[in-house]
Parts: sequence; structure tokens; C-alpha cells
Amino acid sequence: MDAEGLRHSERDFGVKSVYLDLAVDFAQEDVTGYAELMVIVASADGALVKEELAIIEALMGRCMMHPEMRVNIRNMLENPPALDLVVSRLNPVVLKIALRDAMLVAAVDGEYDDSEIKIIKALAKAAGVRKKELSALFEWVKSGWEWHNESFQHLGLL
Amino acid sequence: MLPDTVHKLPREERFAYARLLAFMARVDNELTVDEMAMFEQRLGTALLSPSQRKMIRNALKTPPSLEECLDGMGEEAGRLALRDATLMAAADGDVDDDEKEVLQQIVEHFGLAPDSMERLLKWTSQGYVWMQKGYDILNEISE
Repeated sequence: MDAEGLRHSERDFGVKSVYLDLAVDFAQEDVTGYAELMVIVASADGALVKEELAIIEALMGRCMMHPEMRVNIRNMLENPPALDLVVSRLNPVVLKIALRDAMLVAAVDGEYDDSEIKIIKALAKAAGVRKKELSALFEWVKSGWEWHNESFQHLGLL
Repeated sequence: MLPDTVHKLPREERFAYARLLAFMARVDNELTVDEMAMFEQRLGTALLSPSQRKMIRNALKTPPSLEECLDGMGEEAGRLALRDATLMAAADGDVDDDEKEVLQQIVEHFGLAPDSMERLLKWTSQGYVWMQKGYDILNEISE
């Protein structure tokens, strides 16, 4: 993990990586906890939609989770673990990344449900994220959504 | 990781999409951790079956030709694969000439505007700035 703060890793490839996320460097137990939090958010409003499944699979892929670990996580979708238990075993850096990605998971079906907001606020509190930064993260999700939609214009898919 | 339409494509089209990404991953004959992470992320988004994933990972070892990948591929899957191949090519911070050549071939195969690749590269760069912005917000908390 980058000692200077949260930023994309720079590795020995002779180039600066622009995509690699800190989640790739998480210890195995942290990756599990991180993925469990994504499951908790996705399951919060009761109705698990395909978009939520796709983003959870995408995030597990980005962490390069072992296929067997992914099976365990998928099995939790019907019966997610308790939020408090998962949060209590994760450090603040993992919680911050989990908060950011939980917001993406919550937004993916087009709206934030009250139950999802409740979990996001609990995660923010556990990670030491203040109201101002949380608002900035909500704006960040919105701008990412707009950025992503532009791709459909470039591809002539709108 | 944002709302996408890849998972809505028919199963065969999702497989073709992933196969094209596997080809792209091997264009410069090296697969960096960054590219692999992006590749795995996109495989996840495509909601492929475990057996399809296995076949796609095998395609990484012995990639099909570009012609094989594009043959019979639908318009929407092809365009989304072009976009995500661009993201993957740029993931290590450098899009080399071989990768650009392949991207341009895909653009031409699907009859897209000649400047499509440049526009997608610019869009990709904006996306990576957006990702860094997310880190910056989280960093402000620590200061």
C-alpha cells in the first residue's frame, strides 16, 4: 500500500500504472471483508438486480480474487453477513476503499435506497469520513456516471 | 464498474466480447498486473459462466486471431469491446503502436468514425483522472 496516501500504485514496469487499484494489494482477509461489504450493500434493498451482480463480479475481478473465494462471496448474496462484524475486522484504509465502492454498488441500479444510505453512513463513520467528504464522494459517483455515459455517445450506442 | 450494458448482451455476444479483450491483452506480448486487473474486471461485468471464464482464460494463453474474434461479432458487443479494449490498453499508462493499430482495425471493422480511437483514448484518460479524484477525496480525510 502506498505510504504517501491513497493513490494508484506505481510498479516496476517502466510505466506508471493508471488503473491498478489499491484493492489489488489487500491481504486475503481484507479482500474477503471488502467483498462481503459489497454483498451487504447490494442485498440491502432486498431486490438484487442484474446490474448489482455485474458490479460485484467486476469488483471481485478487479481485486483478482481467487475463483473459490468468489464462490463463497456469491453464496452470501442470499444470506449476507452482519455489517458490524465485517466492519470490526477491517482497517480504515480498506474501509475507505470499501465505502467508495459501496457507493458505486448502491448507485448502479439508478437510485440510492434508504437502506443503502444507512449502510453507507455506517461505513463512512467507521472509516472516519466526515459529512463534507461523503458529499464529495456522492458527487464523484455522479460525475463518474456521466463520464461513463459519454462512452455510449462515442460508440454511437445512444 | 459503472452502469453498463455488457451484461444485457446475449450470452454468445458476451463471450465474443471477452474473447476480443483476451486478444487485446496479448497484443504487446506482455500482460501487466494492471491489464490483468482490468481484464478480470470486465470478465466480471460480462457475467460469464465459470466454464466460459475458463475458456477465456485459456484464450489468454493461446489467443485467437483478430479476424476470428471479429468474425460474426455483433455491432453492440463489438463497440463495447472496442471501448473496453481501449481502457485495458491504457491501464498500464501507455498505449503502444501495436495496440493502437489493433484498436484502429476494430474501428474500421465496425465502420465507426475515423476519429473514434482518439476520442476513446481521450475519454479513457478522463476516466483515469476521475478515478484519481476518488482517491484525492479519500486522502483529504486523512489530512
